[in-house]
Amino acid sequence: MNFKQIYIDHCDLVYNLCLQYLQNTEDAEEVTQDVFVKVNEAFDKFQHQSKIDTWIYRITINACQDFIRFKNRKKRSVRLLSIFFDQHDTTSEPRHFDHPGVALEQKEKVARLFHQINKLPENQKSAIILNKIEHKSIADIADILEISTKAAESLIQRAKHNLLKFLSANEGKT
Amino acid sequence: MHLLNQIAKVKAPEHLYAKIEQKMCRQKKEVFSSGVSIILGIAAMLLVILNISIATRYEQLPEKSHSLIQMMNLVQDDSIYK
Repeated sequence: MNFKQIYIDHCDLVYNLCLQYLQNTEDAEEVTQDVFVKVNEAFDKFQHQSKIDTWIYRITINACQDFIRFKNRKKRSVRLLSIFFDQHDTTSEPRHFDHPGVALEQKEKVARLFHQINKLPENQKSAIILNKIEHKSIADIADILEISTKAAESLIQRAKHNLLKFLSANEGKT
Repeated sequence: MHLLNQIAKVKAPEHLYAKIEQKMCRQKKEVFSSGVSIILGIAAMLLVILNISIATRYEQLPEKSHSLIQMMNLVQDDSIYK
């Protein structure tokens, strides 16, 4: 299997997962590029112990998490710099919600929901995205996150519980 | 939560593949240039070490043999010119 074929077979999968994670087309495009560069570099080392889809899902999740961490670090350092220098850097400002898969009339509600999903711990966020948006089975989620099926199940339960808690707290505020 | 089920799948933009190829090319060049700079750095370091070792050896020689000719164990024989 050559690289172009891998790209053709998986580009939509990677791009959509990046969109669910980052909720911004520009960021999703950037991370999709990084994912395929990594896939190209690591394909020789891929030992076919898991399905190629699972392997690509793992790379994508890691790339998205790295991207978010990088952005947060940048935000922190800019905030620190702004204390000493009177600077205003627009590149570190949070990206606006831009998800082409969301219908226009639901955009506001979904943006609020994603705002709460983004507050979840990394593994819970991955589990809820894979389960609720990507419609993956518990076994597949366990495979992707490299945990047992029981752990995957409890991770999803905890994620749902926390999300409902966040949402009800948010509704109480408004 | 049911809103998440309604999120539609979208197609990846067509220009992405060209961008990925560009990125891969750029990375190859960066790897090459970093390799070259490592080799050049090692070569410069070796030259400095060689230079230092020659200088210290020269310093350790007795006063009399400080001339380059003596250091190279050449005997100056002026008789051939006579």
